Amino acid sequence: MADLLNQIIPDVVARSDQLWQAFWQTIQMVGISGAISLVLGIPFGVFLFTTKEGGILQNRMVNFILGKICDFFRSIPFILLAILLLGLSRLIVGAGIGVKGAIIPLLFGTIPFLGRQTESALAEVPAGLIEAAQAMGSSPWEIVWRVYLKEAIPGITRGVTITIVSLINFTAVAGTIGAGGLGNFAVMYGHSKHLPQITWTVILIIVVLVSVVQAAGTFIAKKATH
Amino acid sequence: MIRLEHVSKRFETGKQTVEAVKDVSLHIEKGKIAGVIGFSGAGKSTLARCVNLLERPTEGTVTVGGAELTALSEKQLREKRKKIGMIFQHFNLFASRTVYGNVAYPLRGRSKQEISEKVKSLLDLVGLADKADAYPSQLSGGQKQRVAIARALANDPEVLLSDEATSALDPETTRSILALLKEVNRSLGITIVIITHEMQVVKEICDQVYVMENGQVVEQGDVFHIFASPQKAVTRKFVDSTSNLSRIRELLDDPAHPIQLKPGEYLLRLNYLERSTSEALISTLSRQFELDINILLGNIELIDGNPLGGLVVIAGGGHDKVSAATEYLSKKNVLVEVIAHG
Repeated sequence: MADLLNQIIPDVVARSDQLWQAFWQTIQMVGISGAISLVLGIPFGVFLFTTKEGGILQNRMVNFILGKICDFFRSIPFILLAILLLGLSRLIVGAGIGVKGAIIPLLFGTIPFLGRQTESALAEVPAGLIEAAQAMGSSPWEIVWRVYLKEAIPGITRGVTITIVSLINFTAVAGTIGAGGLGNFAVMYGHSKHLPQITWTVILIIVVLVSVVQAAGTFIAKKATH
Repeated sequence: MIRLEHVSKRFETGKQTVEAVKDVSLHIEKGKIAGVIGFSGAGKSTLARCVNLLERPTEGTVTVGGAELTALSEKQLREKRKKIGMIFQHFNLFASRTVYGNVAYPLRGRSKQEISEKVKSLLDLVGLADKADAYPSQLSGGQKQRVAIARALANDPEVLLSDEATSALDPETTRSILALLKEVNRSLGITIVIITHEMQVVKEICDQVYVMENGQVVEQGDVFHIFASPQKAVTRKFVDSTSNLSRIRELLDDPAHPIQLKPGEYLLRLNYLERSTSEALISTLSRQFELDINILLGNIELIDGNPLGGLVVIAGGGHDKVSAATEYLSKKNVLVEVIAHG
């Protein structure tokens, strides 16, 4: 096996340690910023949705502000967002580069994205269920927990899946401006040193990674649909 | 049990104002089944939502079980709503919860054992004890509505609001759901308000009925009297919809002319009012007034225990005999309408 790999992709095998390190960095970036995005992005989406006109926590002002914040960050291409947030990142985590430095820009990229995904998942919960819950005497917060979030599990799972997939993409972009990880590895060797084997190997790894995430998401969403 | 005083509900959509309910006052006594009937857009669903304040009336007061809901705080209102069950046309069951989970939803805060006992007894009541672990998507429409009824009864409500609960069901299932509602009303003494556009539903289980048109209650009364002598055009339409007698108009307009009247023959519609059908009227007409009577359509039913309905007949024997018979019938509380004559 090792011989075979050495024959097909000698450039990669020669740098397998760096590849492993890059892979691990990518997993760290996706894992940490993914986990924080879930904790902040889903509630963000809940507020985006429920403060809307006619929503159960209707609040025009809050909704307007949240919507504008969301649209602002979502309209900036991620590479520019990453550059823009370097300063903020230094301020908060004390680093503008590396895995640590990438977390803040990644969060600003994914939280608004997941927020909108969550918002549209909640919009799919039939209005009749909310009315039924209100008729049974449920409070707005009880409706958020026991009706919206529970009924929207399949939709939110799909949203989370899409978010993680795009997060993997973002980490590759962040890699090109010094965040480390697979993107950085591909740019440093595949692009700068003209080693196409490296580029292709990284692409293959990312494709596999995305496929695994997508398959897991689809499986969970299916399990949660009754 | 339920008292609405001068209730109005206006919806403002941009520059337009829609007055869905206009100055409705009504009083439904404890233990009664009241029907609210009207065509789509008459305001009946909005009126039902005004009872538990899912729609807060623009004007007027709503009192249920002695508590003026329109004066309560949001928190007090939520407590009170637990005593007002509601079922819907599209069932509104939680797809992510099993039958058990749906019925247990409103019981939060009680002990596990208490919940389990309550859910079990409710599922027994609606005849779905074996479906506790099924998800709503695995149930038929009628079963879903039974689950919804069990859920609505979970907090032992005083009132049950039924918003077009049988409109998405076939006639057979409709009857079984209505029978269940009647049983709930009798055995638990729950006051039921039924919103419907089907007069058949009113006929089958209601004690009293409110007819709505353009946001107003235009006619009200006990079901027998509404059927016996509907006053407003809209009420007559609903009453006619439950009988086949109105088909005579179609038959007369039929280009194939299935009804041919010979000279001296009269096409009559006999409306039986009050308690009149126990007499052998047709035989009397035939013997005493020497009329030849041919019954074309008939629709006589028991409503609230009293016979009610009518016949469409062709009476042959000439003008004099027919008018003498008409006079006799009106004394017997049968209203005669001459539809056509030969």
